[in-house]
Amino acid sequence: MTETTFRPFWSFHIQKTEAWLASKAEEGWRLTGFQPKTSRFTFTRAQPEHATFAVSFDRSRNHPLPHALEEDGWHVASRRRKWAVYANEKPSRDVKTTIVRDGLESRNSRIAAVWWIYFLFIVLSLSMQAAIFLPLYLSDAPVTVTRVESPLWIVTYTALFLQILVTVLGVYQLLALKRESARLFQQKLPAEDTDGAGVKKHRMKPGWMYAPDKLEAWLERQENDGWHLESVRPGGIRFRFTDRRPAERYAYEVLFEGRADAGAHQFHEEAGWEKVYASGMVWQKWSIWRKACRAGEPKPVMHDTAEDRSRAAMRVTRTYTILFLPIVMLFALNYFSFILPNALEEGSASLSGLEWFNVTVYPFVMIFFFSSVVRVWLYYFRERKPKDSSFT
Amino acid sequence: MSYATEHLRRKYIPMSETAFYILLSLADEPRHGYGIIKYVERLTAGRLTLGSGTVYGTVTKMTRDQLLVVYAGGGRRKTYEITPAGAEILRLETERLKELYTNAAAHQEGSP
Repeated sequence: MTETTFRPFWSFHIQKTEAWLASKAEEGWRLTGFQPKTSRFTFTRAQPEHATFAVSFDRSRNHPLPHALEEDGWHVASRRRKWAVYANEKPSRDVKTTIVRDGLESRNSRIAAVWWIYFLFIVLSLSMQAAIFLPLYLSDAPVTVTRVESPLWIVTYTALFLQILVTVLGVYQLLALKRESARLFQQKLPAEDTDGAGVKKHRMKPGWMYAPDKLEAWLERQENDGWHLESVRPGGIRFRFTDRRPAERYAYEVLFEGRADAGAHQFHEEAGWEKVYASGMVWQKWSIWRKACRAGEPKPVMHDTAEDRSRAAMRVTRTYTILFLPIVMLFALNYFSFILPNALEEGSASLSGLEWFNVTVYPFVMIFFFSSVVRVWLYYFRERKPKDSSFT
Repeated sequence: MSYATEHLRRKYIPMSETAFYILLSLADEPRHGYGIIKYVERLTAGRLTLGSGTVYGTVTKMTRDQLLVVYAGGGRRKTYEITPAGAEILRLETERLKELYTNAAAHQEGSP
């Protein structure tokens, strides 16, 4: 006897799905197959049994079973393309191991990134429409809107309905993924900003992500001078220090990851690094780490080979170049092809307020983005040079 | 039976010192990240202290290439285990290093 159950959005609620599979096993339904895309799970009648389930996502579709897991009683109960359900019939308290969910974490953050891009597009699109229509609404001149009757309005309404539907789906999935991430990949967050005793000082450090090595050196100098970093405010710009003398030596590392990687953070923590800041972005994750060390000892580093350091630096350089260079080029094209020639032709006396704004603000925007690109490349070339393992 | 494909051999041999020591540390038993770092430090009498970023990057690459598999062991720590393909790559690299050593030693003995 078989039974097929439809379970929509199961992959956004992995822990609930695992508990549901366990309850089905206890009711005497053994999982024999599943269709991830159509959210269908097939069971056959069997003896009721206790089982622990773990759902895994593996882009390589290999679903390996390490010896240690096999010896602990795990087996692959069912697999379909990138998804697999691992099961263990031992009593839960005797199960010492489990699968690692890096693949699932990576898949979830990729989906979240796609939704954020979608919402960014919606916001940009609405802003552009507002920019076009706002002057009309605000002007004193009478505005007449004529609605031309046409059977094609159905296309507009259908598109609007679909867009609302997709947006609701996006909000639902983002919220579900956020909750899921908190449950599955419990990340230890850096200590909260506390009002401890002692003399404090605050320093602003904007734009450090374009030269992270300089931030590391600056933080090490602060520690050396007796200013211990207490916290970094959300946004990563405001640094709070507390006076701590005698000064202790700390090595700082600033890490950039394309996406949140709880596994990497756990790894660094095990190796004795303390996380003092982690940015809240879905992608472009920045984190700041430190490790205490004694005078005379070599400075601890996370990346000990030159190749590794330059690869890590290239990730930053590539990301910001891809992000900022097109903006610089678009602004430059617009400015030098249209705005500037037009302003020169009209003469400064006859320029409107908006034209003045464009003529003056565009160069600042271009300089800001272009200098950021230059700074990340300079950072990359600095990281390529052999490094001395002592403090600067 | 060969587990390591031609692609893996070309990619990993010759191997970096870090990659070699990581595979070597996992040859006998699975270890977690910090266990790998401490084992290599002990094995090289403190000469080599691997950075956690370097080790993490290398084990992630090796896991992707199926030289290693990972699971959550005691205390939910990520634990790495060598696969037959990983063991074969380690054996091939060890043979290459042995040949290097033998030739270098013979050359040294033969030189005036």
